[in-house]
Amino acid sequence: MTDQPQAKGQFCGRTRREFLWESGAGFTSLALGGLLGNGFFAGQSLAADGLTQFKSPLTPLPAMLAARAKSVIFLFMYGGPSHMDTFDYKPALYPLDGKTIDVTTFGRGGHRKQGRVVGPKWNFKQYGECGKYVSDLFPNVGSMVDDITFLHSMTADSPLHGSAMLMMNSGKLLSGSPCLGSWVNYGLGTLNENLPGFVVMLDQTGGPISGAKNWSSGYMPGQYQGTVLRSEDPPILDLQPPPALGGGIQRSVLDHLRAENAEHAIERLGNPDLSARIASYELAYQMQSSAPEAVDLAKEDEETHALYGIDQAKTQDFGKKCLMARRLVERGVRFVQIYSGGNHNDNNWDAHGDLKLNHDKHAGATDLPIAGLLKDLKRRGMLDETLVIWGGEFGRQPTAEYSEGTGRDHNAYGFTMWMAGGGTKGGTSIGQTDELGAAAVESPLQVKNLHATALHLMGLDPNRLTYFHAGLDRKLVGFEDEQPIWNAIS
Amino acid sequence: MVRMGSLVPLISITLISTLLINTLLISTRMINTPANTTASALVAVADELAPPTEESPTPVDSRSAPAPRWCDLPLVRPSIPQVQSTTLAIRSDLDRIWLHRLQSMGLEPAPPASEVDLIRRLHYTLTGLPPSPEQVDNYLADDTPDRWQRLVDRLLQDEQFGVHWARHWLDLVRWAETDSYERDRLKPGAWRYRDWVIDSFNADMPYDQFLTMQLAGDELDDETIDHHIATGFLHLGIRDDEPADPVQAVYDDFDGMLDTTCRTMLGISIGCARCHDHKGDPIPTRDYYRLLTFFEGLKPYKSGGGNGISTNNFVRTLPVDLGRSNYQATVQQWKTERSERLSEVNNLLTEVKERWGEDVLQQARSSLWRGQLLHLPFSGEESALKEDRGSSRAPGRHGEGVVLDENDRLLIDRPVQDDFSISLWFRTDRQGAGGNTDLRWFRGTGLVDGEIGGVVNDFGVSLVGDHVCVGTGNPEVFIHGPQGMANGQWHHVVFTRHRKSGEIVLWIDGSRVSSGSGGKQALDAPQQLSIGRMLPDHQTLQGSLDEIRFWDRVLDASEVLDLAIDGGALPAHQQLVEERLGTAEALRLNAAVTRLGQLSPPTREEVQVLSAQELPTPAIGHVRVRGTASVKGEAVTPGFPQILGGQEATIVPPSDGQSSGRRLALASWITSPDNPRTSRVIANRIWQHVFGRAIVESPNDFGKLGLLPHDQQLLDLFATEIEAQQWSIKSAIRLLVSSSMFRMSNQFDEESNRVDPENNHLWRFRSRRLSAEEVRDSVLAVNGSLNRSLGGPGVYPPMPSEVLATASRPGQAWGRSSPEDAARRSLFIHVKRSLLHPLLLAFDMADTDSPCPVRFNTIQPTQALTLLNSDFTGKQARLLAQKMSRQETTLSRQIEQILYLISQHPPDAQRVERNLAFVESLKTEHQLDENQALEVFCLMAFNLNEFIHID
Repeated sequence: MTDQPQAKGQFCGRTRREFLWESGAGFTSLALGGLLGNGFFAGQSLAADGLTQFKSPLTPLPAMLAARAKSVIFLFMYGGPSHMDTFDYKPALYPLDGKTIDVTTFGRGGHRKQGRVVGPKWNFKQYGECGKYVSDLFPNVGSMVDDITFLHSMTADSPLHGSAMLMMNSGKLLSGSPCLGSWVNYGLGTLNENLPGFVVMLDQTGGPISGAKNWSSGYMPGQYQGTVLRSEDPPILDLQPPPALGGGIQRSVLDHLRAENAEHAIERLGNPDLSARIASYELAYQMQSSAPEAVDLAKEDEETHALYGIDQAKTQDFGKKCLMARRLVERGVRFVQIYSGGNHNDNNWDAHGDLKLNHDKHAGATDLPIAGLLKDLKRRGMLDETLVIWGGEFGRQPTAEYSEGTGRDHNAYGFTMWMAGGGTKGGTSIGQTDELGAAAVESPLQVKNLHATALHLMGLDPNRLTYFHAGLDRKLVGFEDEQPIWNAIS
Repeated sequence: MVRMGSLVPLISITLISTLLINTLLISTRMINTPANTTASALVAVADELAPPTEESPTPVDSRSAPAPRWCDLPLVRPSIPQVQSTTLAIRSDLDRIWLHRLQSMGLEPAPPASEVDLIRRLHYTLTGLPPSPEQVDNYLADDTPDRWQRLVDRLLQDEQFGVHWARHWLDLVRWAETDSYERDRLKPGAWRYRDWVIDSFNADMPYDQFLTMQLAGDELDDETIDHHIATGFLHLGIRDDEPADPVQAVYDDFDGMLDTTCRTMLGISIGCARCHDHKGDPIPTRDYYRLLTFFEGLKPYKSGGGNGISTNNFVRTLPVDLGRSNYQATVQQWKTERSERLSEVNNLLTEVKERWGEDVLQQARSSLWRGQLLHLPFSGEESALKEDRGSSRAPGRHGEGVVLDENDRLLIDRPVQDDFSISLWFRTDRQGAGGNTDLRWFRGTGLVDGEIGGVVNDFGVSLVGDHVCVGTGNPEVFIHGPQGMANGQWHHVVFTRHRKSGEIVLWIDGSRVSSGSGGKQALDAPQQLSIGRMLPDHQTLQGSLDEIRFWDRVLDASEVLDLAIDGGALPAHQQLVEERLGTAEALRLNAAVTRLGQLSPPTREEVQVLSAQELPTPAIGHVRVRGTASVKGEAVTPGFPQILGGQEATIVPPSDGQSSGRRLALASWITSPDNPRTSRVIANRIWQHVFGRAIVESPNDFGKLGLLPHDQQLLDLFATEIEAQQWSIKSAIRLLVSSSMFRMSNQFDEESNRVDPENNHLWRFRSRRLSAEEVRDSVLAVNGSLNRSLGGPGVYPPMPSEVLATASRPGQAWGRSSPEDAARRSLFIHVKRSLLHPLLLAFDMADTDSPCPVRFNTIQPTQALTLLNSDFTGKQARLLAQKMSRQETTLSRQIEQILYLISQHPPDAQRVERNLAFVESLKTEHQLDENQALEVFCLMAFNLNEFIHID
């Protein structure tokens, strides 16, 4: 901890407004931060014409704290994976299979006091030096446990997808707030102006529920929202010139456009927006080649493809996205989020009906690619500066939802997420749920602790990174000061 | 505050604030500050510009009487200084105060703008659209002295004015047509609110009335449909239909209403005080909850768990001519006529009875009831119901009927499987599940239904979108009726199935509307049928059902008609008539029944309206401790904040007993001439939209966390002028655009720039980028494809597949509009919170989830990519090129016209020559034909700064 936490109750105590987000230009206090940190103007790049300075709102900014990580890769297991069937070993649960017991749960089916236990459907075995128990769903991730910090006592404020998704992404149950990826880019800027700073990759079956709300920048300006990147061409909406501008025509157009715009600007002194706009076209032009290059997997060798499972049908899609994520963070993208699962029902981890079928499918598609990503980052020396987060919006209940079948309802009282790299310890497990996995009982953690940890590792003070909106200094972690998960940090 | 920690000890708070202000202005508007400006240089500038009037911050005891802030002092018309100018005309007192301020600061106003610049500026300011070259030519050719005023008046009368200015208001009220969250439900009839705002601006509704209608239109004595539509204002926010804490969700909703009201109408950010006494402004928590009480009587969005909602709580079905027609008299007349014709039938029946004996009528009746296996009249205990989850009873089509909402449903044992007829009455004002494109019955909201997943022997009747649909399974066969079923009227449905032929027939309101050929097996899959909800427990019908009947035979046309005319109560039947064919009684009876059937009830167009509705008993308000809705603190009564007087509200409940009168009391207080804030707030906003920046640059927050006015006298004068004009928005705008301030150029001046680098005092006009909507609308306007029609449900321009893929149900996420509708102005694009239009997003459209007082003004590569590469601009460039090829014969003339259209400035010969050379080079260097080259040129033109910037 390098800074004293701010005194409580200060968040509304501003005497005058640091503010001005109300006046339509929220990012500017960062400009001040950068200015005073001597890094602001140095970080500006010249446009391709060599003359015009483009002032990107995502200009890199010095960190507030000593940064441990440069980038975050958030592997979002949408729908809510079952912790007691993956990483939270509950031997007591097996013999109770089929028995009706007293247990307090709250899920889609409402509040219940009793339920029929569904014994875990997979066996666990120990992995690594730390001897961590991992289920047979994740043998490959199991091989990496010494680099992983498990958070077994996660809790969320909602056990319902709509609000819980927003909570995990934006820290709020209510729609309209910026996401973790937005905050990271707002606080740090990007390291590569030719690529978006916050990238989201979705499942083949569709987006998660509430769609773009999950990567929205809310009340912050649009440049902080996530850019959806696809594994097929073109990777980004409107990135490719249309056929009418193919074969070098676009370059001719841009040259003429710049000349005409320059002519127009001559008579309009004191309007820097005009030249900034000229420069933005050159940056757009550079993005057209940079982004496809960043996600061009043909540049990777066969061994790497195999490492990520791209050579197997089952793991190909998620494997490609994991490899793209590595290439993106390698090129300075701050925040990459990959969704495992999309759409509705069994197209994601939301196993209400047949747990076995559902989790075999989704773990089967992701285990090898995730392990591949961790191994690849590690061997390239990138794991230290890349924070990998794994988890869903909540976990699942130890008991069945319906009178028949193995499906489990949602559980926000206790579930598991994990982190690797980026300054985390590895080989560690934090917190515990009860012996059924129904609720966190030891060191309960909240989503804001997770967010605080991510910001802290990225060099941002979660209690001082604020954005003035609607009369309040807003923070990702909420009104009160919150602590990172200190014992997860190495 | 971002990393200010190290700075605080070094510089005073005031200085930091000022420094920040200037940093803001420099980095967003970059007023020619050299890129290597150092912090110390900025500090020096900031020092120089520190406003002299800012008081030093002191902690405020929330219970003591605080000193009033400038904006809370009574609004007084400032005295007007004497000023003289040799360079420009002084046209109003506003000009005098403005010029006096400039002169006192040693600032010289910029010279008048060119006429062409002015025409363009005025068109965009008033309508958000560019002038056509003809309009520019006509104006320039006009040499009458009052041509500017006439242009102003013409544009204020143009209905496009309302479209443009409605958008400014919609930004503030977080306008969107869906709820957000998992289902992102459609808000029924929300678009009528948007149209009401447009109409209000076009009709120049006085601003006080405009506010009152939105807060409490339903509580006013006068009642038209608009009085209800306007209250849709209260229901525009985000709403979680499946909240983890339903009580908290209700209060989140009230908070959204209060917060939007306070920020939008009063310039107070009050949200902080929900959890703790506001530290910036002296607003104690108690004040917040006293204000909240004004809204607490509204029916909640939802009242229980699960994801069912009751649209009845915020949607009304109302006649469009409410309060403005003699409909009741028409109904009375119809009733009289009907009863006459009915007695004619009854008299004939008596005759028939006498002639042929009593039993002939029994026969006729029994012919209809023959084979009836089950009848659910819902007028008493229904022993046939196997499950009744939450339904209630209310007057139905005949006697009582069943009312369903939220997650209700009824189950019965399936009574039929071979030949059958199912007859039912239903009424709802809410469309069924599944939309209007996929009309398979099992996609909808079940009416009487036995859906089982997979290829099985099932069947059902459902409401899919706005259609009644029926079908049988294995193989799936489905047919549907006409649109317009979810219109709040009772509709009669008969579904018949003939096993031997497999024929299924759908009858609506007595008419055969569709038939199909289905499987010929016994339909024995579902053991039970679900009423009012699909058997697999999907969405519940939000409405009523009555008189559900099952027969083991196929009813014929006359039987169906008989049921539809009067529920089978009329004993007249074709059969009876046929049996006695040729007899005088049969002929007369037949004719009399036909006459009765022809007498249709008077119809009245009824529509769904998003609108306020209150609970029967007003809620008792409480402080909610630390913002937790379920923890009640001290009881509070409706009243106003201490900083604005702290009075108790005087509440007079409206005579109709439908509401508490609280919201009307709030509206009266907000619009009272004594309220010092309301006029200032709207004056500041109108100023903002005419001059590009507001006088108080935090238009939603005049409080201590907001900014001070650049010139309070100017603001106060303008506010008093608005009051003097009875709060006419058009008069207020006319006043500004008629001033010399508006007619200045944006010419730069070194000396003025040194004194006032941010141009806070308007020494030159502020040029601006087009807004998101203006960019899209201008592209369409320039090539002539803009559809300028107003109003109606939101339209669906093509959405790129990349964007659709982000929805959780990509295939069902977006609708499809005709090319004409897709070319409507951007305001009419359907606003779905989870799927926003990519071009509008790229150009900083307003956030949909909280009030947006000022749009961001970013410059991003994404904008360039959108204008260069998107399907939209590509297509519009092609259309422009085609139009020009038809219109002009030479390439040179085509280019000249395109440049004129794009910038509304006639291009000089040199410019045309230069661009002609570019097009020629496209032809030679890239082997394009002339059409292709012109298309590329048009695309280039859409990217010109002069297209996207207004001088």
